[in-house]
Amino acid sequence: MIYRFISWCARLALAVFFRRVDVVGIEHVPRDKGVLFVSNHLNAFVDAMLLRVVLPRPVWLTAKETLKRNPMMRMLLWATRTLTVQRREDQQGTSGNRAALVQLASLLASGEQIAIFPEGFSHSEGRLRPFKTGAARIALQAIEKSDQVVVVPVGLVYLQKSVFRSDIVVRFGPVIDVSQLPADKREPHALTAYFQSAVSALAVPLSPERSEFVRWVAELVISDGIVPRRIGEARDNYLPRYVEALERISTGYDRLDAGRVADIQDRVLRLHSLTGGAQLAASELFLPLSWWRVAIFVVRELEVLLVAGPIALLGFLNHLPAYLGTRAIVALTAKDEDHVATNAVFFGLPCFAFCYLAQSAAVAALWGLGWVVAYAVALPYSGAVVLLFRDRMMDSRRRLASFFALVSNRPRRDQVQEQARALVRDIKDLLKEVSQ
Amino acid sequence: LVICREHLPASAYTRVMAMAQERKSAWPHPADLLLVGILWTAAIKGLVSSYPSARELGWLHAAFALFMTGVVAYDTSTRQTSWWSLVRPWAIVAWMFTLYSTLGRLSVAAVGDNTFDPVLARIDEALLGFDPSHEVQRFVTPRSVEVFAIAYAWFIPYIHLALFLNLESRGGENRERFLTAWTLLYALSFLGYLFVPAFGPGAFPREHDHTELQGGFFFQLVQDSVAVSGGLFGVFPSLHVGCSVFLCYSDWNRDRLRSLMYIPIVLGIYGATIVLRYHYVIDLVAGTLLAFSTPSIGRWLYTRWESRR
Repeated sequence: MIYRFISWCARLALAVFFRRVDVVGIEHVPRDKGVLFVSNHLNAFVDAMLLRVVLPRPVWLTAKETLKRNPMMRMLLWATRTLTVQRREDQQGTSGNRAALVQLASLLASGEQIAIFPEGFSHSEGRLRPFKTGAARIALQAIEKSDQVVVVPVGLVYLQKSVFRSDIVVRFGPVIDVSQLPADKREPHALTAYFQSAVSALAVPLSPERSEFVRWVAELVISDGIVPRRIGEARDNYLPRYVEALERISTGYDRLDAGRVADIQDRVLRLHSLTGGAQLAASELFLPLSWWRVAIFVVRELEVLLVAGPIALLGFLNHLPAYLGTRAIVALTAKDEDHVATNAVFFGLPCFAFCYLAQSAAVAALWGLGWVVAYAVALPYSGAVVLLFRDRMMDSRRRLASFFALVSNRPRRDQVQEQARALVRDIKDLLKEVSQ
Repeated sequence: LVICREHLPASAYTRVMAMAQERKSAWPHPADLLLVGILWTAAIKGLVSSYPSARELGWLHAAFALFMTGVVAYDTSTRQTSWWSLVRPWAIVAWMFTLYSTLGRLSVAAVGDNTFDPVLARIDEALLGFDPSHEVQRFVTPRSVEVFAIAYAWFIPYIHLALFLNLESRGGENRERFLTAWTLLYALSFLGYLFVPAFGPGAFPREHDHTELQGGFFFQLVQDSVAVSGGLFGVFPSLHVGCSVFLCYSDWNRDRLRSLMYIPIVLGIYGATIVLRYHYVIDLVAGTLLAFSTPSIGRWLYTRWESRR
């Protein structure tokens, strides 16, 4: 009951903070076996919540022992089925971990699911940190107790992890049946290295200094010659394809010599300057400028503005105090980029709940109890509208900017598209070369 | 196709070419079948009636049915995609909107005074224990009548715009599925109009008299437009509710914001049909059920037809 309620809260909070969560490879996860998920760790407690939300079966989580010092956290850890392990960095030593590992292995052997982050802590380093051997030890102990235990590597890919309404892709890799691995791999250090290579094939390490460039190029590669989707419509399979492109380009970046990378960078910069310096989104370069599409765009967005706009305004005013309150708390408490989303989710839930209660009480006092029901329904409804309206207006603004950039630069438009196509062709050739 | 190339924008021309190159099916499109089916049903219903005005309308619908049967037979028999396939979505919508008036008129003409109003009113009272259109009178003020009249009047621009945007922006199979489901919704509702003809609580005399509704400009506008379209007919099920819920529901997985923003409009239409005494509650229930069930039945019909290609 508590587990379900917390999962529901997590789902709600993640749906508000993140715009889209796409899951790839969930079919790899067996439904009738003990599963150990080994994942990269980028976004503090959000990573754990994410796995909990996307997995159909309940999952046990693991966290650092030091969290138990806080009584509130201790209660939360209990309610969220979280077991703690000691870390060497916390000056505790790992001697007390034997019992925890045995307990985790027993859970696995009994068919439960466990998620573990072998890097030890969340970070923004743009690459995987060396894995600790705990996950491998748990897996090895579990297979001694049962043959119905497998390991599933997970890659969590945040496109902008601390940015409100950004996107996430959760990638599950093929099952690793530890009992079927050669004997030399069934040893903690070798198995840890094996897990690390499996997770690194799914995670997309993006170092902060080059992420902007890699993102733009990835967007360009997957939008090559494709008419951009209509604003507001779901992009089927877009995010997984985008992440795949990000991964390939990021890998290519590491393997290619600096000269060739610099050449591509030069060409991208030239492409930017050709569009009059406008920061044109790569996916919008191939925007068709037919009068028909423009007319439809104007009609659609005008309707949204006129009909959804007033509802969104109501939602904005209703939620502004809670939003500002959460922002202020996050600004005060988040030590680094990794804790922005976590703190927003943690403090946002009570902030918004309090705000809803206060407003409903005010309505009851002013207009009577009858109106409270209507207002209580209108609050989450207008909240959902304002979120979607915000996303949509940002997309529309971007589309309009691209449109005007292309229209005002009509003589150069063909040149821009031609250069973009040539660039995509060369990048694809290079990536092919790298993968060979 | 030459005309298309010269007059259509490049993206639309590409779509037309893709349709022209599609392999033809030996079976008529399900939306065509539904249209022809409802036309023939209306024709037979009118022709077998003992009332001359209904027989006249029956002949009119028989002519419509004959024409459309010819078009569909031609479209099905030709090897290449005919002009009908290209204009089908828009033409079917135009047909259904036309039938909304002609077929409704036929249905009440075919039964004279023997409408189903007493039955529908009794169902309402059995469902709720009271007559809803009479009960709401206690709360109705000229201002609330005006507000609901605005909601009711909004239905027309709302469905036209939403239908246009859906048909324009959905491509290929997605559009065909949507069209089939929407045609099914209208065809089933028209069956209701034909076989359960009624005028609605506003025109049906009850034991307790309704007080006259007082409203402003929009209420007058709604009343005038009802009078212009031939008066009250076509009550069970409520297509106002059915179509607005259908359009709202079909955008749910495709464009969530549009779907959400339509909810107040839909709720307004629900309220308006009762307050303005155009529908019984059972009509709204039937319209809602149809709106939620036709998308999946329509999808199934279209998929079945597709698999026969």
